[in-house]
Amino acid sequence: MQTKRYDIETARLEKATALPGFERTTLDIPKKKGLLIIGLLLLASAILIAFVISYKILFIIYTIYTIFIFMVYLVLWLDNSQYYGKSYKKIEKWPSVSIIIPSYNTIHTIFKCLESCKNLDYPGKLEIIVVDDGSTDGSYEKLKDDRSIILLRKQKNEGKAAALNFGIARTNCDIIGCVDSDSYPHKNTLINAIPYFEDGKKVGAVVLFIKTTSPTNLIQATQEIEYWLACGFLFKTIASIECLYLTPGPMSLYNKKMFEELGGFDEKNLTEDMEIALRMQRHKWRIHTCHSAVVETEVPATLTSFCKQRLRWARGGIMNIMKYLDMFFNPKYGTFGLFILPITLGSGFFAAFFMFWMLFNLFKTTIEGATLWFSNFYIMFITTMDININIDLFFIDSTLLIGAISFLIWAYFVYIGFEIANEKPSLKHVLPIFNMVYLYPIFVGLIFLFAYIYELSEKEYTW
Amino acid sequence: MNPFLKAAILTIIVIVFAFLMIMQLDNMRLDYLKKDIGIMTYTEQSREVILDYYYIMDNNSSKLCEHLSNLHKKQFVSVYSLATKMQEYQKKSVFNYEYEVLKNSYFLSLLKVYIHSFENNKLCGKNEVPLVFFYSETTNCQLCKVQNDILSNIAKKCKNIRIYAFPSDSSIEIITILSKKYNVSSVPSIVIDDKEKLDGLQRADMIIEILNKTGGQCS
Repeated sequence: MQTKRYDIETARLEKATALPGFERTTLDIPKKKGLLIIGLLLLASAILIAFVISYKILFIIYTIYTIFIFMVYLVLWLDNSQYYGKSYKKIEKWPSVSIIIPSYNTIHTIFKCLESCKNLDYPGKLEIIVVDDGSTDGSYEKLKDDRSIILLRKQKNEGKAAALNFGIARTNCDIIGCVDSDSYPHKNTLINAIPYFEDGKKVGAVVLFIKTTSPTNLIQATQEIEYWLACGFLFKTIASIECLYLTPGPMSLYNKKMFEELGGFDEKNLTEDMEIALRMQRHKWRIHTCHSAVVETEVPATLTSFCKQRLRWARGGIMNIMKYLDMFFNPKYGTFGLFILPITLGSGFFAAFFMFWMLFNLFKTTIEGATLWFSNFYIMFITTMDININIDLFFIDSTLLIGAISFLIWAYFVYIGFEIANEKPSLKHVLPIFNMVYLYPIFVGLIFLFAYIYELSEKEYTW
Repeated sequence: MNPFLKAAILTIIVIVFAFLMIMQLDNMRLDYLKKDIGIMTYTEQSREVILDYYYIMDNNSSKLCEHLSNLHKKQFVSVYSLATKMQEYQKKSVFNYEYEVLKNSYFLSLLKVYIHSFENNKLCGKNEVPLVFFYSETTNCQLCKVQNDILSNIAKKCKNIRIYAFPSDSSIEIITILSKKYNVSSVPSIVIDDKEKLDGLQRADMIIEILNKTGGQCS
């Protein structure tokens, strides 16, 4: 790789040379259309069966499945509490850290991001590299004046993964922090997280606690809770058994040696952060989580952009499942292959399936209820009669009791999420939590289904 | 210990606990219904015993009429609410195989009360207007629910009526015979005083008008 070819600002890059043995990966995704079709048929048959058998049986089966999975997480959480409290404070020689920020038309957020990166507290060597991915909004020209950063320019826009690889190849620091241009690490992020690399084992990456910036509307508020639950509770739990399958894009720290061994990011992948984590799992590199290192990230504020983002994640997920299909149910990969991967896929499948079921029931009850109320009102107006309202203590559905148990466990997880995020539950969290319970499963199901169909029809990828 | 094994054991414990709770709730519902239906059958049995007593041991017809009308007033007949409750409870329960038997015994008791009311009229003279309301059990009949609400209100307003509700598509043979007798072809359908038949959804003022003509004493 020729560094010199990129003429601008190269004077400050004399030391950085392309690493020997470092190759950019552009691994093609195998087209397994047959498998996708089988998956779709499975879903269709499950829906058909659902209409034949009683909804009660279905609900009970689903709840038992959910309770089991929740119980696994609960047990893991309670069993591995010593992992979470583990501290790696004694560090003698701080490794050199390079922060790489890919930037493409990010004039609104890049400066805030840079500011928080410059404010990072770190006793060792710290360099900040911005890789401009052919921006056209003038952010590159503005960044040129900044002498404290290393600015690289790619002429052709090739996506985030390519920009990251471009930056990684031009640094010789031990640790690489990949930061999104719309994410803002807190001051003590590095000082808390870097010691996790001194584990004595092959640590490929350290995942930080990703939070959203303070929400402005309901969509963001819902995502806030979701991030606490996913990046907070879930990641912490599955990292304790070395099963983390994602190194979040907003900011993660990687070991340079890992890139040298496994290659860079997959440039054709939609979710390169998931792909690299799966690759690390395959080659037995450890992924740690550090929850005292907090990174704030901007999340979509409109439904359209939110859907777009999730659709990309879901498609990337399906893509990577196809790519690493041999790891599924493979005892070679232990708990990761036998439990975590199938559960992750199964959740999407169940969500899509239950989305249909819930929508159908919602539609049915709405129609019934509307007819009844409409007719009642009609009668009321023409005869001036009052409507009977019967309140009955026994009006609780028995199956709800069993559902309530899984809800209670889930509520405990939310509580843990609040604790990890150092937040106090308040009235403003009620609606987002309600959303998470009722609308989120439907939403996830819809997204999963659409992603599936897009993948099947080979719709073109867009970022 | 393996965390998965631990989780499995915990799940089993939780599920067993949940099912015990469900069973308890379902049983409570059943007991509640059984109590009401029990009162109905008990009152009907005492009526038979009283009749036997006066026919066989004491031929005092004036005392008999007094007893009969007292019992008939005591007889618990709720419009359609007990049947609706049964249907709802059945839907809401997981262990619900007892409901079919319970339903049959309820409708048979209700039929007994209806048929015996004619005998009472013969013996002691007419003292109330019977109103039979046919609805559908198997199909999703929204208008029946509306009609039920209307009838429940009428029951409160009128002193001298009694409302019986039967599913016209029931598997009980005598209900089918009854609906054939009244030429019931569609639901909801109302038969007032054994002769006046009204098809379709009826407004409260219409029904009250007819009831007042036949002596329902409605306000």
